[in-house]
Amino acid sequence: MIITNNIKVRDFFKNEDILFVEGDVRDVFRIVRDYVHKGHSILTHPLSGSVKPIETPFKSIMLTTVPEKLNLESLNLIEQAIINCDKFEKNSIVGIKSKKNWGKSREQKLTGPEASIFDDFREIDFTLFFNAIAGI
Amino acid sequence: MKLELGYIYIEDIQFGPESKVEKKTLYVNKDELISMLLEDQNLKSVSVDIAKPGESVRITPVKDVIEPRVKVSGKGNIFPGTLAKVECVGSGRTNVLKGAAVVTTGKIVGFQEGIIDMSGKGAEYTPFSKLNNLVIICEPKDEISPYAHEKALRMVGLKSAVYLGELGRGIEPDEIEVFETISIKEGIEKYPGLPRVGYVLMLQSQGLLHDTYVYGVDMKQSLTTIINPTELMDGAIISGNCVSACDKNTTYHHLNNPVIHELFKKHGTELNFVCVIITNENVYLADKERSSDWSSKLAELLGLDGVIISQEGFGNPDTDLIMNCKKIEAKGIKTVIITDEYAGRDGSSQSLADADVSANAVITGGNANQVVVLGPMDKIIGHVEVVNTVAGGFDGSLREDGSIEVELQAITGATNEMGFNKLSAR
Repeated sequence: MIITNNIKVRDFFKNEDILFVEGDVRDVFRIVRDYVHKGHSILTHPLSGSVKPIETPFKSIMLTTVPEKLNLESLNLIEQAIINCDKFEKNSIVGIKSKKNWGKSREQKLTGPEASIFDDFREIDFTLFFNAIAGI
Repeated sequence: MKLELGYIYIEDIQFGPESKVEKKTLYVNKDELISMLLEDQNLKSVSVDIAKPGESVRITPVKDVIEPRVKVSGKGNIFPGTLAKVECVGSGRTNVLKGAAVVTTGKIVGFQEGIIDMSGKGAEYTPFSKLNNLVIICEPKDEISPYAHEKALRMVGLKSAVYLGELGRGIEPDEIEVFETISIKEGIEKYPGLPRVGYVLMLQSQGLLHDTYVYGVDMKQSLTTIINPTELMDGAIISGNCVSACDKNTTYHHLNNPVIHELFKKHGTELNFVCVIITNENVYLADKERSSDWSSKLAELLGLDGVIISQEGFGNPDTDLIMNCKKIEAKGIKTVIITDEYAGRDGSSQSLADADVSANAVITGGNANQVVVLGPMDKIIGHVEVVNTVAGGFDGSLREDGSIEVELQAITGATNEMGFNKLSAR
C-alpha cells in the first residue's frame, strides 16, 4: 500500500491501494508508524531524497499490503525519521525560521513563478518514489 | 593498469579570440564555445562567464563542477559511455588543466541550492573558490521537462570540460604523477606482508537530481561492482547534478577522489590498495539489502583486511552506509566510514539517521547545520533569488544588503563525504 500527501502520486497510482493524507510530512510519518504497529512493513525509505523532512512538503512511502507480525526494523526506521523531523525543526536555523512554512497556507499565499516550487517538490517526491518501486 | 596524469598548471583564465593554453593562462573563445553548446535543441540560450579566486563573485545555483582533461594516449576518451564511446579507460596518459574548472549553473527546479563564493568567508568553505572557473549559464526551452533540462545541463558541462581539456593535448605538462595498479594475483605475491585494503564508494542513485552514471549506466540500475581506481581519473563516473550541495559528489570530486589518491600514496609501503567497489543508494529497501550484500560479498571474495566506505548525501544513504559497514564488519573485515553530520546548529543532535555499534571508526566532513553569514558580493552569476527557498536557506536568508544567512548545506562541497574539503572534528 502507498501512504502519501502528494496529489501527483495519488493521481498516478489511483488504481492501487493508496491512502492519501491531508497534512504535512510529519503527518505522513505518523500514519506510517500506525500501520507499522498494525503489522505492515516499510518498503521504501522514509528519508528518501536529499531534501530534509522539514524542507519538503511532500512524502510518499510504500508498505506491504498484508499485515504480519510487527517488523522491528520498519518501526526503527519510521521512529528515526520522526526523530529527524524533531531535530531539524527544533535544532536547525532552517527549522526554527521556516516552521510550518511549507504548509498549505503558504502554497495559497504564493503567486507567479514562486508557486511552481510546490509542483517541483511534488515532482521530486514522485520521481524518487516512482524510481524506487519501478522494479517491483 | 598504469595511468600517467600530466598536470598543466592554470593560474589565470581569460576570454580571447582563440581558445588556447599559453603561459599558465587559459584563453577561451566565448562565441565558439557557445555555438557548440547551442547545438543542443533543448536549450534556449547559453552564456558563459569567468570567476577567479579572490574576486567578489557569487555563483548560484551550482549544478556540477568538472575538471578539464584530455586523453593523450591509451584506450578510450574522457567521459566514456556519456560523451565518448564505451571503452575501458584508465591507462596511458591523461593531461589535466589543474587549477581550472567548468561550473554549470541553472534552475532545474525551484529549490536549488549550491553556492560558490570566490572570496570572503564563503570561499573558505568551498574548494572551488580556489579555481579559475568558466561558468556556464543555460536557459532551457520553455516546454522541456526537468528531466530533459537536467540532462541538457549535464551534457553542457561535460562538453565544455572536454572542449577546454582538448586545449591541453599538445602541451608538455608541468608535472606528471603515475598511478599503477596490478592484478589481484600479482598483489598477493608482491606485497605478502601488507594489509589488503579496498574502497567502497557509495554513489547517489535515488532519482532526478540524485543520480550518478558509470560508463553511461544509471547506477540505480546496477548491481554493486568493482572498478579500477584509474578509470575514475578518466571520467568513468559522472554526477547527475545536485540537490544536496554540501555533500553531493560533483564530477570534479569523482575525477580527483581524495580517498583514491591517499590510498595510492600508501600503496606498496603501508598497505596493498586492491580495488574500488562501487555501490548505489536506492530508495527501495530491498535494493539496499541486495547492494550491501554484494559489497560485503565482494570484499570477502577479494580477501580484504580493511575497507574504507564513503557515502553521498543524508538520510536514505545513511541506511546504506550502516548496512555496508555492518555486513562488511560481520565478515571479519575492519571498516572506516566517511560521512558528514546533520547535528543541529549547536552540534548536539544525533548526526546520522542510522547507527550501529560496528560503525566505531568514523571520519566526519563537518556539520551541515552550521550557520554562516556570507557577505554581499559585487557580482552574482546565476539566480540569487533562489536563496530563500534552497535547502539550508529560509525566508529572510537573502538580506537587503545582498548578504545571506544559510546553513553550510547550501555551499557546494562544504562537508564533502570523500573528505575533499578541510572541515572535520576530533
